[in-house]
Amino acid sequence: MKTGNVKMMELYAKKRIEIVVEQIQLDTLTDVIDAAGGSGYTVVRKISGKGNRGVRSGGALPDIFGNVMIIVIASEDVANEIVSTAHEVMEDIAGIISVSDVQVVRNKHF
Amino acid sequence: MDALFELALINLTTPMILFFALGLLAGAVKSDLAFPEAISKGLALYLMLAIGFKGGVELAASGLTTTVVLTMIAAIIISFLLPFVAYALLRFMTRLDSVNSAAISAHYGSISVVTFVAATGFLTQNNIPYEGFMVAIMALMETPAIIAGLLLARLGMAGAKSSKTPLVSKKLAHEIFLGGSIVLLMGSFVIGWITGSEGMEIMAPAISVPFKAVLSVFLLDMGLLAGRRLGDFGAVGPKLILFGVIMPPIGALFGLAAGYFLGLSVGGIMIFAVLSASASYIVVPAAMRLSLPKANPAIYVTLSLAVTFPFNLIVGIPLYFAAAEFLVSL
Repeated sequence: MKTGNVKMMELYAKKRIEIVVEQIQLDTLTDVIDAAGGSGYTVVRKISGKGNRGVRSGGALPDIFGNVMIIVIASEDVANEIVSTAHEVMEDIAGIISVSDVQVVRNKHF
Repeated sequence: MDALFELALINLTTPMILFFALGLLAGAVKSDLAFPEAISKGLALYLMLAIGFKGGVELAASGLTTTVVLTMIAAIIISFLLPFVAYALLRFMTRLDSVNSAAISAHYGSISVVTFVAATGFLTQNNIPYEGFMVAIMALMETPAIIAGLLLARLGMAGAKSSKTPLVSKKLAHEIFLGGSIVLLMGSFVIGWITGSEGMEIMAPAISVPFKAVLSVFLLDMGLLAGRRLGDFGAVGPKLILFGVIMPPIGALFGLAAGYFLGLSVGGIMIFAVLSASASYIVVPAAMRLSLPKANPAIYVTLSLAVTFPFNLIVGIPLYFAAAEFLVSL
C-alpha cells in the first residue's frame, strides 16, 4: 500500500508565548499584552507546580499562592514587545516566560 | 483567675473550636481531607452576608449615635497606628528587613473577619450582648493598615525610585475597596439597616439559627488551611513566631482602652480588642502581593494564619473578654 505525505493546507508562522504567573498579577500581564497590540490570549486557571520559589499550589481563601497560565499567539514584532515588557514587569513576581514557534491556520486572527 | 480558666475551658469545648482543632490536626498530618474550593468560598460568602445583615439590623435598632461615630473614628486611627507599633516591635525583636517587616505590620493593623465572627459566637454562646455596629467598625479597620504598611515600606526604602509612583495604585484601590467580601459585607449591612427588624424576620431562618453550625464547618476548613502552613514554620523562625503571639495582646490593649473610654458594653469592648488583636490573612496578603512583591508571602501568611489566628481563637478570645470584664468592673 502506498502512503504519500499528507498535504497540509497553507499555514502561517507565529510566536506562541506562554506565561505562568501568580494569579493576582493576571491583569497586569493581560494589560501588557493588550498594550503591545496582542489580538487576544487564553488563560488557564488553577495550575500548580514547583519552581525556584518552592511548590506553588493554589489554596482556597488566601488564594495568593495560586498560579495561572496565559497563552498568547502573535506575530514576531508583537511577541518581542510582549516578552520584553513582561520581563520588566515580572522583576519581583513569581513566573515563567517561554516562547516557541508555532503555525496557525487563520493568519488574520493574530 | 479561676473565672478566666473557666472561660477558656468553655471556649475550648465548643464545636467551633473543636472543629477548628480537627482541621488543624488534619492539615498538620497532611491528610487529604479538603473542602471543594467552591464550598469554602460559599461558606465565607454566607458568613459575610449573615454578619453584615445582623449588624445593619442592630444599627437600625440603636440608631446612628455619637458613640457610633466616635467609635468609627477611633477604629480608623487604631488600624492606621497598629502597623507602626508592629513595625517597631519587629525591628526590635528580629533582624527581618524593612520590606518584610512593613508587609507583616500591615497584616497586624488590619482585621480577621473569621476571628471577629468567632468572638461574636463566643459572646452569643454566653448570652452577652454587644453593639451591632461593630460590624461596620470591622469593615473600617480593614484598609487603613494597608496604607500604613505601604508607607512604612516606602520609608524603609528611602530614596528609591518608588517614591514617584502613587502609594495606592488604581488596581490596589479596586482590590481593597471593591473586593467581593467588602462589597457583600457592606451591602448586607446597608440592607439590614434599611429593612430593620422586619427584614430580620424574613432572613432569620437562613442566617440566625444555622449561623453557628455553618461557622463550625467553616472553621474546620480554616483549620485545614492553617494546619497546612505549619510546615512553613521553619522558614518563619522562632523569633517571628514569638512576635505572632506577643503582638495580638499588645494590639488588644489599644482596642480595650478605646472601647472603655468610648463607654462600650463589655461585649463591645471585647470585640474592639479582638479586632485590634487580629491579623488579616485574606485581604492584606492579596494587597501586599500586589504592591510589595519583594516581601515573602510564606512569612506573612504563615504568621497571621498559622500563628496569630489560632492564638486569638483559642487563648485570645477568653483573655480579651476577661480583660474587658475587669475594665468595666473598675
